[in-house]
Amino acid sequence: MKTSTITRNFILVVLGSAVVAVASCKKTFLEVSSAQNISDNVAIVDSASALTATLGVYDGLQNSYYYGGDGLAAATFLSSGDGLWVGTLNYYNDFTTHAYRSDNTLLYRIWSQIYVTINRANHVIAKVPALDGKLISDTKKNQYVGEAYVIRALAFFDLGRTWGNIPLVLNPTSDPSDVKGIQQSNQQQVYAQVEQDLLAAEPLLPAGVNRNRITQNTVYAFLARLYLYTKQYDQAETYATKIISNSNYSLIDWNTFINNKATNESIFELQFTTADPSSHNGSWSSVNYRNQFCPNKGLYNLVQDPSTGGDRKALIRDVSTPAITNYFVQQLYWRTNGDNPTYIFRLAEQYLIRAEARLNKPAPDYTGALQDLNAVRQRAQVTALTFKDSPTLQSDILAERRVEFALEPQRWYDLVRTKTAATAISLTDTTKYIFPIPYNDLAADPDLHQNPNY
Amino acid sequence: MTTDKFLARPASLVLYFLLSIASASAQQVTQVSGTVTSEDGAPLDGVSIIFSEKHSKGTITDKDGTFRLSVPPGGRHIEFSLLGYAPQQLPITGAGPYNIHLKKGGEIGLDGVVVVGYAQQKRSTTAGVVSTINAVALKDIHGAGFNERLQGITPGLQISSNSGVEGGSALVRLRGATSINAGNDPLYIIDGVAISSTPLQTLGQGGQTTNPLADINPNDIQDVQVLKDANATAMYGSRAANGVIIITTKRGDRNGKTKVALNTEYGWGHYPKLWSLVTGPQHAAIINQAYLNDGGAPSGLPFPVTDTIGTYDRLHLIFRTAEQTTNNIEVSGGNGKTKFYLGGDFTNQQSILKLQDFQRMGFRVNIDHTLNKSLTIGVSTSYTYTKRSLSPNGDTGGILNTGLHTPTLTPIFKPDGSYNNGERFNNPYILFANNNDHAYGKHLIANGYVKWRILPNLSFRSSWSLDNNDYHEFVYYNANLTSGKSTSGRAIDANTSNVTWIGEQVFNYNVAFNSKHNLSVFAGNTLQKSTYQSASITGTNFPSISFSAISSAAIVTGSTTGDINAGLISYFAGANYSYDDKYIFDANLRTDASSRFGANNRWGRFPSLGAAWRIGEEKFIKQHLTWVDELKLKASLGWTGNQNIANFASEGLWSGGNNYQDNPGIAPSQLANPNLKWETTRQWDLGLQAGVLNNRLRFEFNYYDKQTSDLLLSVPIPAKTGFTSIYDNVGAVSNKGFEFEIASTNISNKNFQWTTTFNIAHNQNLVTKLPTAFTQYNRDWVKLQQGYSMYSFWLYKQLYVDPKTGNAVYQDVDHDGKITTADRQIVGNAFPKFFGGFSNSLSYKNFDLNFFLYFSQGNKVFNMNRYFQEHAGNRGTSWSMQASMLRAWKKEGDVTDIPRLTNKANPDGSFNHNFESSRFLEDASFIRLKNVALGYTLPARITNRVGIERLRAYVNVTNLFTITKYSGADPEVNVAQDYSNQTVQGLDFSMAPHPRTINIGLNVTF
Repeated sequence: MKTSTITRNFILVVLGSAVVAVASCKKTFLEVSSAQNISDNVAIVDSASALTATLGVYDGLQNSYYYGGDGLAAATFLSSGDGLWVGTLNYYNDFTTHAYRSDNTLLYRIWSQIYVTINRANHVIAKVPALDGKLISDTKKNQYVGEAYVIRALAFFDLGRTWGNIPLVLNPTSDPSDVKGIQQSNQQQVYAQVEQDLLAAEPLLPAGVNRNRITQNTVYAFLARLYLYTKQYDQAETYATKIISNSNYSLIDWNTFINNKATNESIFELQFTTADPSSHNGSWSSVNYRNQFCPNKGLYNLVQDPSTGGDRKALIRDVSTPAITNYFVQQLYWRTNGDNPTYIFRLAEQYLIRAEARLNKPAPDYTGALQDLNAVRQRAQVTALTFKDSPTLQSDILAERRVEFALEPQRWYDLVRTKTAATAISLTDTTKYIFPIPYNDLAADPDLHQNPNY
Repeated sequence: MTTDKFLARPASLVLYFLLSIASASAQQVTQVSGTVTSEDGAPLDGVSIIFSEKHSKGTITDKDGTFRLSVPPGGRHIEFSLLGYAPQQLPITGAGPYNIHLKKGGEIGLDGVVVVGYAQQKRSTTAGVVSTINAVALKDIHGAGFNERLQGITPGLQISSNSGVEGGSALVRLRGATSINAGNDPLYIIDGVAISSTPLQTLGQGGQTTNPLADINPNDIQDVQVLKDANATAMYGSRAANGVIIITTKRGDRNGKTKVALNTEYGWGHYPKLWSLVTGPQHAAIINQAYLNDGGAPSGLPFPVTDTIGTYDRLHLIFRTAEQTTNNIEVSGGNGKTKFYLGGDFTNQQSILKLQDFQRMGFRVNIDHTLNKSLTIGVSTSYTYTKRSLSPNGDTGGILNTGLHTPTLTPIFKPDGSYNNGERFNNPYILFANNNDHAYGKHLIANGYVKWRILPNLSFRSSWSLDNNDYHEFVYYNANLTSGKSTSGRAIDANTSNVTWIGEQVFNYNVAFNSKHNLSVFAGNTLQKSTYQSASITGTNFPSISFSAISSAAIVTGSTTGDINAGLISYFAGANYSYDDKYIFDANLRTDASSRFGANNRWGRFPSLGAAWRIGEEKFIKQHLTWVDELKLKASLGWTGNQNIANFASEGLWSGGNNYQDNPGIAPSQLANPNLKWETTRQWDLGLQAGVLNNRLRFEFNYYDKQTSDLLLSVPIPAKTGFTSIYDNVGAVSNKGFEFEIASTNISNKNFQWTTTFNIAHNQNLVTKLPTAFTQYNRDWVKLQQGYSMYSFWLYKQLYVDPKTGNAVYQDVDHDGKITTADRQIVGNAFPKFFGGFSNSLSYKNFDLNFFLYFSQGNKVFNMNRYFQEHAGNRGTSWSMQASMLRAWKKEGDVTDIPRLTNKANPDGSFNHNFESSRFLEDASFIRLKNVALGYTLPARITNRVGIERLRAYVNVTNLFTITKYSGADPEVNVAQDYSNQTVQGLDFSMAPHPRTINIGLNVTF
């Protein structure tokens, strides 16, 4: 082959490939897509995708900062005075000492995660009803929207009881400008929105029993709690009774309850699996590792005392050694593989709500109140109480709630709700009863205003 | 001056006479010819030959090294140049034949043709700011990655190796940081292949990252060019905002003798300094004191007896004398048509911190073949296998945490002789026995090219490259380790790969006309496509610690990313014009389209202009300031871009994996921004370059001003949107600074040579526009805020410790009498004010001595170890204490910086301990003697007898001393290596100090 032929052939091949490459340019190089994500406008299009979007809302609850671990649960548990910080992250310690400031990193994470959940719910509420009836049945449409309403209500309720003044966002976000101008609503307005969402959800939801998904019974249990918080005791009693009188729910033996899942105790239990684990077990101090926080000695003594704890002594173990003191390990989220459920609504709470409602309603029912309280005590093998007077019963109910929900985020809200934080944990500064609005969000959102005195 | 006057002077008459002869003889020559060979006599093919005065008719040598060309009128000097050789110039004294010997040398002579990126031009006519670093300058310097070795070598290039772990990452910033979310690493080009400097690591190692550039064998490098100003970088357009670093590897000699060079080195590393901790009894006494200060009853002291408490040192258990070996072999040579370079590498570096090793094995093949007069083809291929042993840094499993943070009062063994774990950290012996954390890298970089010389001054180069990088990570925390205990063991196996394909076509054309005009132009196109994918599998609940394969785990979960593609299409062109070698003008234009942006803004255009005036060539300098050899004033202005953000950042997305009850769930994961576009950096530069006294003293000074706008920022948005951020083009960052370099040949004679270089740079970084300030990292240590520099620390400013109360007094910014978040402020940043290097190279007869100092002044480090270890007892016996705690305020009148021991809040709401206090922010300025190397080359007459061309033995010591006020073990550290585009700098937590190493080595050339 002659030199010039080699050159020519070579150049032809090279130039040829270059031309082919350039010609295929735009499509090959610029139009790329991801195997992991889908575009906004094809997210909710039919029955199957509506279901996946709804499950995504439940997933929002599962986040570790919300109901899945060491976020909201930790902040409120430590604030209640029953916790001990033993870890590295001193922003947890700010809750035990009520020194939380606006720049507390944890608060921002909890706050933003709850709004993530709200946005997911808003997408379902806005988009599912608009789907073509040929692609999804009305029953399913209603169920998904109802579930989203209840989760949104739960999110608003948690924000409202934790921070007091919070913005209510009722539509999905597609652009940051969508939420411009939405100011904070006060706690009363927030609870009104919660009520409205729950009442809207009730007719949409199925009536049966499903302990891991939201049903009409979840709405009843939630309304009972809401009306207790808003001091509408008659309604609280009515809704609690709807659950208590339902034979699908019963106060089973304490050990059966904590050693099993989805028992008759549960009204709505957030499910976790080994593939989709809860981070509760890892974030509390465990036998294997001294992590961020653990129950303190006071709470340990309370559950160990047969006259107050009974079977609930199984909730906390003392693994202290001479070298490592105050080493208490919680046993509610005991499964090491992470499939510990989070109890969001369970039957004992309905009994104690009704006890408190019966005691405080305009026409008090002391006998009924005492019966409800003793039902919870006797289930835990603790002796029944007798009626002395109304204030004693009120404090007995609160004391019972402290033990019954020793490791669940109830105590802090009870102290704030009943204004007993000053006497119970010497927290006299009432401005601390609601947390500061997170610094990072105040900086990003001109509509936000800080809570008083932070 | 008239002829008459000229002739009137006798001296001038003589000069005139001589010149007349010279010019007469030159004028008589119409053609010259000759042969060009290398030093060892091998003919050199393709040597470019031009007339210094005229650029019209150049030629190149043929394969026998011969040339013949006509002499144009006025042509008096000819220049010979070939890449990789020192160019030569000589006067025409006759028709020849001339026998020219070109000396090999990476350093291109004063007037050689340099290739800068796509451009080919004479060095004297480059108007851009480009530093060329010869590999010789990097040879004796420590560092697995060549980028670490560049520290202090050239002004304006700030390099900070993040820890003393071998093969670990380094921070590289050229002329400051231009971006917040879109990456600040320079673009690295190796033999024409753009390679990624982002590690493929997917498993967290407690903030530590590995250095992907450690895949390149430093011994294969011929030279490194650092492109700094926009005039030089604009030809790389969309990725050049942070500068460009071009690496050229070694190639063979055509018709050269086959040469074999061996380099073997053996070294030992040790820590220069460690932390000082309290003893066991002191620890207990501090807890006691805090207890009493907080109102505890003396009867209930936590440690009634402190004397009997032991002190258990773990710190010295976790360090070792590290052994390091490096072995390189290179074989190079060629015949008339083909030249080759083969490089082999085996490097084994232990870190001084146990459990961490770095190994590299690799080879390189560079071949060039001349098909015929107009066609050259070649390949550059390297394949590297790296193996790392790792141990994460962190609260749970970390090795340094085990040694540094376990309290000294915690016994290492239980009374029964078994291992005792601390409250939080692994027992060191358990960690040594059970740690199993490895990463294996396989990296192929291959490039093939065809160069077609269409006309003597027009060429076309087509280049095709493949960069295939695979990274395999495996970590097994067995049930003996704290990280694996609660799940009966946990193992993760992850495979990540990134394949980049690049096709590039470039035309180069040079033309000279009317004897004074010289024009060189290029134009081309690049296509690039990358595919990333990663898959990982996690196993928990192992039957026993003897099982480590994930197949034996009871619970196995996995995830894959699928293919993630990114594409880039680019067109570029540039011109370099010079008039009379005095006035130089450059222009470049590049346009890029990236798949990362919304369809509305895919294309970005990046122009640049540069000009230079070689004042030294002007008559008035030549006549009056004869000692000036070069004086060049340069100016440039240009725009470059940055697109280094997440793929699909502009799209509104929903993601899967948001499951419930093991059924699939989806959720919105990103808000759309279809208007997302390039981040643009406008940079101007003014420079002065000079060489005087026969170029024995050379200076270069540059001032630059870089303004980056349309910052690609993950902007915080109100949380009520359901998102915390969105990618948007907001904000601006400014970097202004200067660079100064001086190089001097102090002594140069037959027996003694001594050269000195010194460089210093200053950069002022400023966030000039940022609508919403935001904080970063755990505890919000760092804050980005308009009007402040990046890497700024956000803290409560401790003013003093009140000698009366012993409480820390913090600045009450809003004067409300309370210390609240509103009083937290920016106190200092991690950027150095000045940094640079000072090196000396001496040789006397057969001895050579080099030493190199690096300095960094004004940079702050937040000593997070102290933040944790000055805990006044509220971390109890779960965390150790530094000896600085002993300085704590004790009684009224004490003047100290460490406040009273208490865990309670001060009256103003602040805390003495565990508070985000500026007390822990320290000045980490330092001067370090990075390297001292002493070598001896055996006389050739001895070595030649045994067939050895050259034999050099050497010893070098790195990191001999560091002068610093910083209280930690090493001022050059950062733990937040993997945090959000490295926007958090200067955080010291559990980082291994840089080792002091002593190496002995041999270079042998056959």
